[in-house]
Amino acid sequence: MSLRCQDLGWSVRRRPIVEHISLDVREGETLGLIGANGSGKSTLLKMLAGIRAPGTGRVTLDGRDLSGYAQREIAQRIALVEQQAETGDRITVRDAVELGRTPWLSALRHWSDADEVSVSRAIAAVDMQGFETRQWNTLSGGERQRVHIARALAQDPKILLLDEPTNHLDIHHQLSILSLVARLPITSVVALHDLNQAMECDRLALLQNGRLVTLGTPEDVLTCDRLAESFAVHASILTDPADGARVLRFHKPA
Amino acid sequence: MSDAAPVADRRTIRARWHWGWITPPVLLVALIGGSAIGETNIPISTVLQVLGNKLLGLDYPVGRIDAGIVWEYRLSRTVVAACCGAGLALSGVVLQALLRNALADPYLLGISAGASTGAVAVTVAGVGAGAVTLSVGAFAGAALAFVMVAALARAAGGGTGVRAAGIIVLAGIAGSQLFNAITAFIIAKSANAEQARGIMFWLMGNLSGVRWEDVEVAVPAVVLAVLTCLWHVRALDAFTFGTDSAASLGIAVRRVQVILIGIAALVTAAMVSMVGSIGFVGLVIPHAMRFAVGVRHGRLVPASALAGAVFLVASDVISRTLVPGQVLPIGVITALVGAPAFALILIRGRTTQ
Repeated sequence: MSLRCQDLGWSVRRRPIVEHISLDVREGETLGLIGANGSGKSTLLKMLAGIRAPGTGRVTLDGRDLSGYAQREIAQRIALVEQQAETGDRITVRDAVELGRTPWLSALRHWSDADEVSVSRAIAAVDMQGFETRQWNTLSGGERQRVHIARALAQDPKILLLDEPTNHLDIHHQLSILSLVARLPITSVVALHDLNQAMECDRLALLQNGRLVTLGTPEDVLTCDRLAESFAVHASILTDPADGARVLRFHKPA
Repeated sequence: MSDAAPVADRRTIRARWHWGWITPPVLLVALIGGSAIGETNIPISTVLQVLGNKLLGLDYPVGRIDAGIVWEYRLSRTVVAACCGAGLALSGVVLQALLRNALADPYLLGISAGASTGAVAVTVAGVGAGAVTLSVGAFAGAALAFVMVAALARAAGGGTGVRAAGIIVLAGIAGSQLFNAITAFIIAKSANAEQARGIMFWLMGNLSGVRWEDVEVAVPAVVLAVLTCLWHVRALDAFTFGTDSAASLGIAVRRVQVILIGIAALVTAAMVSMVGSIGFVGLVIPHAMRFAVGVRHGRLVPASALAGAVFLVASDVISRTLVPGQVLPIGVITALVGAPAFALILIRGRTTQ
């Protein structure tokens, strides 16, 4: 399943939020989106997910324009975990995850054992077993985030789009969610703030002021010069003695 | 995971058997009760005999006065009350789900006010020169009011967030005020004193003028609303985390919003054109039912429709019997019963969280 966008743009009141972005998401890879606040990561993800129509350019899924798909067909292939999706409803964890089966159900195709299995598997994948009957309003921010991810997994998507999925998570769950995403045999696009976590992606796309600055392996993208330019920080690149991995340490520019 | 499947089986069985079996007897009891109780109580056996004579062509000996009260007066009125209750409760469910606002109901969003204006414009001001019926006028007013309120909310920076939820309510209040003012203006300008008194009574919610012709509008409208909502229960659920989330779950957001809000406006307009605007049903019943059966619309939609129907039939009975020799506007009863009930629900909800 190939997802690509060409010359993608979107603006609010003539102020461009995303401009001229063209990229190819390779099948099976984990593509990280990085960039400072307001660089257009969330907007780009929404357009890739087909829930916001592009202002200019187009998004294609398997060579076909996304606007040619029914919303349900898109949802059977692409799942999105938004940054902040809240509710005041007294909904349980299991109810919330069951929503992920929506694109596979209709008034004529009822809930089945297969749906039940998908939901249980998704809840287990984010380590939320035992929380099924908990009310949404009793969950912590990190638990809510994990439920959202489980909901997306219950969609059984081919492509998973995640907007800063590790926000609100404790370090243990940050690492387990990221390794879960990396292990999944599906394509994923992840907007990330933690650049050390971004190092774990297969490829990185660096956004600045709504434009794609560069796209490549983490080693190529996360150079000291680029970090200074895009994030206005100085970085030292260290080596973790435990496994030889590269680690970034940041300093405020003098 | 081993016990997940049986749990689901039990749950779907319960959900499916629940309302399918409970609705007909409960409705029947409500309709018979509504027909039997009144200023002069009529024995249930007599009510059943009248029903048998009229519906099944039987030939029980029933007094003509009793038969007239039951068939011509109370039963039609009770059926319309049930339809109004169900329709308004469903409108509330739909608006609360799609607008992500617990306060949304046809009353608050100006739909009722717009329907009243449309109805008054047709009956009093003579808009349409006799070619437009009161129902059509009410629907046009309801639709216009909602479009204006939605446009205002959008212009004021709507969207999907928490702020937008507040804005739509504020826009609704502005819309209600505007349309109520227009209604008052039309009445003051065009109606004579007698007409004005009748209209004011009607605006507060009044089932007195209801006849069988109204049933022919009310029943199809409410059946259409129930079926449309049942068809869209999963879509309604999908709006739990907002419109973007619904879209990412495969819901054609715009289409669903147009269909369901259109139905809510249609039903509200149909009901207002018959009985005036009745507050509280659309707001209180869905909330009460969320506490009773949960937030999933597969259960909430049928439960709200049924509870709304029973609630309004009961309110109508009370409005006819509370003050001897006088019929109170039903809106007064729904508010008198609804407000304390709502307060109780709020308090209980707080402690059980």
